[in-house]
Amino acid sequence: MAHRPLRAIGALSLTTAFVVAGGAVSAQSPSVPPLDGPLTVSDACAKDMLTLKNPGRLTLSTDNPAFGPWWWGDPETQYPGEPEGGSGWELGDPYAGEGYESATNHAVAAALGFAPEEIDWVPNAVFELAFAPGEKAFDWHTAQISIRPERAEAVDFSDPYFDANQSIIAMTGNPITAATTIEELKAFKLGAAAFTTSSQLIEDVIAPTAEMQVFNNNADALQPLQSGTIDALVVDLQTAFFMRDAQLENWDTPDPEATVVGQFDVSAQVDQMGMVLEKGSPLTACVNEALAVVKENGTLADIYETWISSGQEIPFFQ
Amino acid sequence: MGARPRRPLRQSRWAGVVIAAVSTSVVLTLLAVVITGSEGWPRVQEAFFNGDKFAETWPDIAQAFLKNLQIFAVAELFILVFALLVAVMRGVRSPVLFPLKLFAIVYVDLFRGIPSIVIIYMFGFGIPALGIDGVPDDPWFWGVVTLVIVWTAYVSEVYRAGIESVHPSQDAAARSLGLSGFQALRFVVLPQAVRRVIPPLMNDAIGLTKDTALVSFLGPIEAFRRSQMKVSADFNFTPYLVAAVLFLLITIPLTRLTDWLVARERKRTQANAR
Repeated sequence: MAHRPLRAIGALSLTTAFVVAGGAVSAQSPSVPPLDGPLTVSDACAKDMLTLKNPGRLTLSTDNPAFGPWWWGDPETQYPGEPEGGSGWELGDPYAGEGYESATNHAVAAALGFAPEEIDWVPNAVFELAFAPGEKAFDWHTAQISIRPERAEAVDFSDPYFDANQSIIAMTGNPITAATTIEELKAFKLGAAAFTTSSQLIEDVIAPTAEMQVFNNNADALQPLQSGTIDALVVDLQTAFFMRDAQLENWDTPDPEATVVGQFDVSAQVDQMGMVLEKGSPLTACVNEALAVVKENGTLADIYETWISSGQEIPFFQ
Repeated sequence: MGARPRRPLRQSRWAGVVIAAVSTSVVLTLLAVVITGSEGWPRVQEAFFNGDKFAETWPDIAQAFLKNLQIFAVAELFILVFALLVAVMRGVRSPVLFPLKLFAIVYVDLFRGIPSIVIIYMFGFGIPALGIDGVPDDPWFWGVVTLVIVWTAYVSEVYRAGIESVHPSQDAAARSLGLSGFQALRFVVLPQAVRRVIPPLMNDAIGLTKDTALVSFLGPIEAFRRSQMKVSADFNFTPYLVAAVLFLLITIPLTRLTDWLVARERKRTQANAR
């Protein structure tokens, strides 16, 4: 994959932009009803009672590179708790606690009694390692992974921390930008990244007549999108915003080169993101308790407002 | 002198077979016991060797595997032809034709040296991005083109080895009979050369069958990608096993075919030996 230094600049300026814009865009709270739950975790989940890879410290993981709005942070900066040699990430820096998943992880860790300096971050180089049988390198792994009952046979999922809508992103001049219904999408060449549920949505919901294209990752998929080999990409809405604003934007002109054409209703496909843990992990219950605390005391809603653009302005496909 | 094989010799050969069978069974049983007795075996079996998932995902992946076969067939055809051309270019001696020789040398050095993945990204994503009119942007096309370009480099060296292994006296004899350099090559040297390198050619063909999965990097869904999509759906690795079995179904017969061709060739040349 070609090295894109522009991404780092984009990441930094977008961090500021998102923090500012996040307040300006009318924020919808995450679709989680307020619980009447406790504001602290139970004694069984006290810090010294937890079964961890490295007792006394949390070992957490996400993909490398890590993309916004889930993970921000500058790999060059030394954040508190970061080892001397750097985080090991080439894009994004989990030690920063910036970004939706990053902040959520820090909040869950805090609810369990861990300060940011007590977290060790390990990059997950190969996606399959997160769900391969055998001992994991992490306590839990957070990487926009959708909870699915079939997947839950191989791993433990935490409770959902985010509800994702799938969406379509295309270059501005492409005729697909005029589509408003799912029927109209069928004739176009659509693409998705491997290991995403986006490819399932294309096959199950859209069922296009043209052959679907699947790429190793979203970064690979951007090139054919720009050169016209595919008409549009299916990605979750937040990643679509990141692509439109940080990755595809032409720095010379103010008009974005890409358009988010529309989003899919949850009735088409619900994608709830959860953390991944080892199957049968004793930690799962405590992670869920901590997550409940984070939701209950309003922290998750704040994180949502800070990092997530609600996307209300993007129309739903009929 | 010239006595028929006596009883002890025939007996010792059967003894050899029995001992081989026993030792093989012992080794295999030991392996089976160690693997299935290990702590993580149930989880690994569930994740990698799941019978239900195997049966469930077989049809779709086998369907996608047809794409790999198509890519292989088209690519191999072009590779066999182009590689021969490059090998012949490499072998020209006339100074007038030196640019051809130089092209062949540079071509082989370049495309054997650069990893195929890099080339497929550069050609498959880079060239369509240039947006030149008339240049196709079909990922199937560029996938096949990349495979042809890369494997031609390897296979041309195989041909070259074959050509150089034909004794120069063959060429000399042909020319002394009045054949031109090209005719000597075409009618005397090449037929012998190509026959000699059938095993390595088949070897490279088998390598190509697996490289067809590279085309998936550009978007098209073939067996590897389809199995990956299945793995993604339920986090079970058995679909990869399905893909492996499908590839073996092709490569093992090809290997046996190679063995048969080699045996036939050996019998033929030994019969002609003086």
